[in-house]
Amino acid sequence: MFSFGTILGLIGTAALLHFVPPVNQYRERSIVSVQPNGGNQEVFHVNLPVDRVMIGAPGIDKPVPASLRWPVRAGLQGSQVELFKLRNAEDRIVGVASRLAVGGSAPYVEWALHLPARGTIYALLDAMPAAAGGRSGSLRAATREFEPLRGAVRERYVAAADASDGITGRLELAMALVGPDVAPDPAEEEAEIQQ
Amino acid sequence: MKYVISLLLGVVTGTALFMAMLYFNPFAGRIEVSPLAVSDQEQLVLRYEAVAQQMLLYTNDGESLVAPHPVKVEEIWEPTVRDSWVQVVELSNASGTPLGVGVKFSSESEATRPLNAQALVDSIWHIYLPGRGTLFVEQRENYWAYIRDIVIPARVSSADSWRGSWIGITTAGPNQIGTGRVWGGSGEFAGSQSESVETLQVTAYSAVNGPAAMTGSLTVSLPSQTPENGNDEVELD
Repeated sequence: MFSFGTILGLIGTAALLHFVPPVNQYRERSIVSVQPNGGNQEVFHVNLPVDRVMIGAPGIDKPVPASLRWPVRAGLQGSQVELFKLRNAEDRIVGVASRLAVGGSAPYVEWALHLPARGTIYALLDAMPAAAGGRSGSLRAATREFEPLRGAVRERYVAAADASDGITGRLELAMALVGPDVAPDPAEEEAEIQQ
Repeated sequence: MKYVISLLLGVVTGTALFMAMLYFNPFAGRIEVSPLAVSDQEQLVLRYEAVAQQMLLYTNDGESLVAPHPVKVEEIWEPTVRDSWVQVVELSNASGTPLGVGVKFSSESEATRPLNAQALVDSIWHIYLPGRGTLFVEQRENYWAYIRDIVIPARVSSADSWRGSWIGITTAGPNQIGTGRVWGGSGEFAGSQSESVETLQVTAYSAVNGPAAMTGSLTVSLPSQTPENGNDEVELD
């Protein structure tokens, strides 16, 4: 009976480790709208200032968190790094994101949106806001679920009508993405995001 | 009754035997030689302090072994992100000269398979090197050897700690040869693609607080289209 139990323990442990996933990331519903050109649109946002985990820049008056000791080095002047919790259209936290803004003679703005259960999006935006407000850009790279996609990204700030709940506004990121078998029309994608 | 007890003892023994086989699996060795070692391309080495208290910022769900840093940093405890952690570090070259800043997102990977000696983490680097540009790095890291060689010995140690000298490559993909994928974002790296390998060097670990002395090193193989002056490091000071 002992030998039988030993074999049972060996097989049982192997079966358990094989069939029961040790990691199971929690998922929120993906809120994606299908666009007429075959692509899709998904909008993420961060509520300010509550979703800001970090803002670091050389000589910044009010870093977040307040105890952050950001390096004051000449090369970092004019740059700002932020970390946010990222929300979906239902205002639920779905990931974390970094935003890098660099000034100077060749300015740029970048986002890395990390959604643990889905993958990561890396977007490059124009440094200068568009005349209509907001910044436009494109998907530079993506991983896992987002890997085959490409398309346009638009960032815009929307001030809150009522800041009584501590939220002064939201930073919105709208993505118009298409799969590899669809030839993207940049003008069309931009128009979809503007809608 | 004695049959039931024998059976239960057998099951416990079988389970323990299997776990011992996993732990002492001779085929699950630590990777010490970088797949980029045979590359003839120029390599950019970015070093960082991998102990939370020496980073610019470290945050997680607030209930893990490693405490967030600095004090009062927002924790990422929500269900979708609680199995993730974020590091913000200052990056330097081999001689310790600061080169830039990096943000690393890490999440426990659903591809983890203990039977295959895998404790996988999906990680992303968003790197800013002033004067040069930005990089985005995707990696799948395997911490199996790190857990087996450092974490478990520290847990079973009567001193609740581990001391020694451990160097291992954590990068295990997503490229077939075990390298990470790198995309250039802005500056001189714009439009480029290449590979990377991350290495950890550990000399002290506490079972109570996590790593006590640990440095990381991200080696990026620079693409050939990088300008000729690509090896000119821009110092921050």
